[in-house]
Amino acid sequence: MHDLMIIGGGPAAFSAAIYAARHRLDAVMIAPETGGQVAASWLVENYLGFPSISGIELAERFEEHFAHYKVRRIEERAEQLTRKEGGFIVTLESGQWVEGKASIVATGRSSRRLGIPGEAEFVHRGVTYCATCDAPLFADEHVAVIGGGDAALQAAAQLVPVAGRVYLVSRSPWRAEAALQARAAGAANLEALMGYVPLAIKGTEYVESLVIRAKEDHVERELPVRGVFVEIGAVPDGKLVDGLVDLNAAGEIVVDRSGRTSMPGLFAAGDVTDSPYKQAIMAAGDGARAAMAAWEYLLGVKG
Amino acid sequence: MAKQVKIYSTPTCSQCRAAKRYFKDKGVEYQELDVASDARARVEMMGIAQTRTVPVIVIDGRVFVGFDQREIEHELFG
Repeated sequence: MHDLMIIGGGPAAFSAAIYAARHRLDAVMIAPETGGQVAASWLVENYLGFPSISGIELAERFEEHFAHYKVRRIEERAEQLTRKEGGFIVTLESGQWVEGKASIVATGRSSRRLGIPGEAEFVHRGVTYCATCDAPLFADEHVAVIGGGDAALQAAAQLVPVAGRVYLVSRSPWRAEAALQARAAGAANLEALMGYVPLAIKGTEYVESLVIRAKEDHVERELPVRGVFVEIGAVPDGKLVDGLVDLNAAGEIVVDRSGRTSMPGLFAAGDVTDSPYKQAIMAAGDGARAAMAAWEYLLGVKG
Repeated sequence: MAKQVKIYSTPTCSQCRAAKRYFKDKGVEYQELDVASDARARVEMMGIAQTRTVPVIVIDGRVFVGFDQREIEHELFG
């Protein structure tokens, strides 16, 4: 049985793994992919020590740093986490399992869906949740970005030099960082459509249009677009521990200031938790803190 | 005989990177087509996979959209 199982592959998990290794814990990290939401970010310009770095490169730095320590990594998805005497069991997608005396859940978040007609039908056929991955596939075409936060403005900034025309559709005024807003605002081929609600995505084989409706006068518009980039936030991936620990109404794992959940020995860190402001640098801090709390917990258990 | 492996990718896609790393780890040779810079490859990819996302992986003619390690492992090694 390992001392500590760290579930996740974003900054919270990598940071936890490094702290665990430095405390000489026998840790294992379980994650099929590296970087979490960081890896899908285009440019990260607010992570200390990196004035401007692509998300994928920052994720690589996490991996390089992690490689300095001998922490076992299992590149598989964790399907289930259950309690057992003296610890926890994680079942992997291959059907195998791992055991640990304590665990840190750092499973992060995944993209929120629009929930409108046509969305599910056209996923990967025009509808996408990763502008960083898919923007180049829409060269010279008309596209829509939905959202008004940091991710939406970043997506728009990536599409502006590539796509023919970019419609940026948001229900409310942008709430992204001022620095990101300034980058998008000057683009000649960007049309900001604030105060619009997306209604439906239409097409035959691929996406052909997006229907939106003005909140104020209810007038509908059909935008002729081949791509719909959905950037309306993220939902926590707390399924693994649903029923095991307390979640808040938003589905986030409730943690105390040290990353402890409602179950002793089970910790959580990063965007999956109820800590405010979801940022990579905060997730990294959360991970470090949870690892130290887990180390303390294990000291107590060992007696 | 070694299977023919082709991957359509963009430089900024983390799943593409994970797939390529997996192939390297397993010693699987593959052909890479960057659909960000190669418009012809982009059209070809959309034709064979009916998709507008990356990666698309083709193993001996079988088409996989996205990188699911277990699925690819099963296709490569049975």
